[in-house]
Amino acid sequence: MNLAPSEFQTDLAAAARRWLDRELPLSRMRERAAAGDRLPDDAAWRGGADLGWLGLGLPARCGGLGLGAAEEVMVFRELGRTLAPGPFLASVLGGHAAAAAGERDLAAAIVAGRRRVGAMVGERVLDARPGDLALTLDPDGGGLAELVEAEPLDALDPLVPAARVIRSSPLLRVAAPCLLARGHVLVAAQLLGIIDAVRDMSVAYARGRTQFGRPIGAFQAVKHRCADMAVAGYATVGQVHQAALYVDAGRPDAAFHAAAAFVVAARGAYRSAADNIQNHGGIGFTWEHDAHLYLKRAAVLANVFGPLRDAHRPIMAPTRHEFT
Amino acid sequence: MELSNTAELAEFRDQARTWLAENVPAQPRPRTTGPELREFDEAWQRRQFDGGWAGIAWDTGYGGRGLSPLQQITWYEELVRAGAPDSSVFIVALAHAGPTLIARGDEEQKRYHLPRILRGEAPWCQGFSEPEAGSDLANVRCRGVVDGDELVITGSKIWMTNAEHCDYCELLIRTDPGSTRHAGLTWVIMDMRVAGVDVRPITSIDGWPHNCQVFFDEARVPLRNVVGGVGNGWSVAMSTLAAERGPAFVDTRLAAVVFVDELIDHARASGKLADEKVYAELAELRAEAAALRSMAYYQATTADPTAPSSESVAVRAFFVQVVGRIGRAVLELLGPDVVESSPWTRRWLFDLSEPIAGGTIDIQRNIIGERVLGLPR
Repeated sequence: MNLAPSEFQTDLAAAARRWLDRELPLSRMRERAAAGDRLPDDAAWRGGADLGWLGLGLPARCGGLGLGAAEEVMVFRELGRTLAPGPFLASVLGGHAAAAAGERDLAAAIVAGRRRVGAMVGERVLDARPGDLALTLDPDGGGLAELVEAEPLDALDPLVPAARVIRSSPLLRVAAPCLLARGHVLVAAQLLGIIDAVRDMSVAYARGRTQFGRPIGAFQAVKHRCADMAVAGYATVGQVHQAALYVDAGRPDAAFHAAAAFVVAARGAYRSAADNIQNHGGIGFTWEHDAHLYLKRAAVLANVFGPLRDAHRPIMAPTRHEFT
Repeated sequence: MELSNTAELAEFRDQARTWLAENVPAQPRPRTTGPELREFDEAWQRRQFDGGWAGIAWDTGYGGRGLSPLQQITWYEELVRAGAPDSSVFIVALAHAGPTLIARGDEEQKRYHLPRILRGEAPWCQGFSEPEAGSDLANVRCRGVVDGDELVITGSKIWMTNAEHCDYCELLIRTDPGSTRHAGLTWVIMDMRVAGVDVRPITSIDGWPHNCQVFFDEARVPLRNVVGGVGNGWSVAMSTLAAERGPAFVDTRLAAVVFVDELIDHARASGKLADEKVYAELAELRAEAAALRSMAYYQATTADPTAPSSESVAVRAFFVQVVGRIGRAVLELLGPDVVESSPWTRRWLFDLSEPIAGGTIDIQRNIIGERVLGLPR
């Protein structure tokens, strides 16, 4: 098993990062979210679609690039790192659901950025307005519905709008257990990006902030929290890459490894994002500072497929961890 | 990224599995501190060597197989799955003395020692820590004085695992009396059987004498046993620690993955898995164990296995985290059975050495903070 990204995969991630920094910078996204604008706007959403991000793992007949989860995770890590707003996760998974259901035109419309797909979380939907699609995932497969009426809610994450679904009309339902496994892998990659981002943010602050005449990063209590973030990221990346390969290969233990990647990433992201607030002290507790946004996004992502605990089932399903 | 389950690798795995099924000792390692322990370990290492399974990734010129790091991991996977004995008294020889000699030894040292290690003839111990040089390894005081073509060694080393069973020691000493810290140190191959070496076992918290304190009283060793040159000991020791913290202990980490499966089996068989808290704890543990295994592959395919890498320190730190979680799970599963000493209580207690041995986890986190993340000292 070679878990090192290829040159192409590394380039893909670097290009994604450049584009996201330029088109969806956090400072501007925060302003627009506060003004009630839709994020990203249609032009930016289409821009991401034009780069192929919504169909990386789908065949050309569905408008995709014919690559796989191994490439999708490279982009999703960057989406997590930059806290990019927008329904990337549910749209990519929605494209896969439509393709699996044989709805090529619908898949192509999603991949082209013409239809956005929000994520159903219980009775709520994230990142979707009436007229958009809403994705439901469970261990057996997934479904798409058209959102007809929804009541906006006060969302935890200011960059991830939430609404209570009042009326929706089912479009399709497909039996495809691999959908949730792919979902776990992609979210794990996003959570990994969050770990990367808060580690870098904490390190930069700990090097520059001086108290008692020393940079606070010289104090073991702060240094060790930063080190733990690095360990959390390093413990996650291999499992994310491995699970992506297993999903692409359609291996029977893909669900186990994808869920394992998700759980390890979620725990690491929660702890790292909370520790990042602590490392920043008072300023980290302010709304103005970005630190809280990483914690909130981690919480949203960790629960986007239902309780995090649900992921324990595929982890415990195999009688043993097969090494082959 | 690619699965790269080549036909060659699959065949290698099949051969390993077949051989192990026929050759893993039927009897467990004797629970003794006597010579039977070393005899058992020697026989098992020799059997692996004769079967062509020793030194998978070591150079063929020194008795190894000269195969890839991925084949080395595959072998370890099959080894731990077969429930084979661990390397026990050979662990230092195989996991860091050998790799140190490969990286820094001269031709004569390699030709003499490496085949003896692989054939199971010469177990090694590690002589780095001292009573006044624990986490602060650069505070080494045990001294070596050059006398003709010999070094005369006086001082004390501690926490030397299995020293009473070993023929050789990787010994770190101060050879420049005026030096301090990292300068003036020397890494030497110490013969543990010469006069002036007094080995005293220390009983650990699990009741077993894992470690020893060793006193050197003008013990003599030829200068040709110095590795990497007199005065270069710190740099050579870093090669040793790179091996210790790196790929060398993949078998130990994979054994933990297997043990987690055993915990889950036990919880299922005993009905304790029905407890929601136990189920959740074991699921989180199995997820971390999976990550531990993928780290080995990630490291093997991204990092230079011979260089001390940031990743290898992180692997160790994560392993310590997993071991801590295993300990909590063991206690949860034992419940009141904990009042009786058993293999599980012994394991739980022994695992408390993991955050200490090889440099405390606290120091490891400093290293990650300072050398990987660039935080100030």
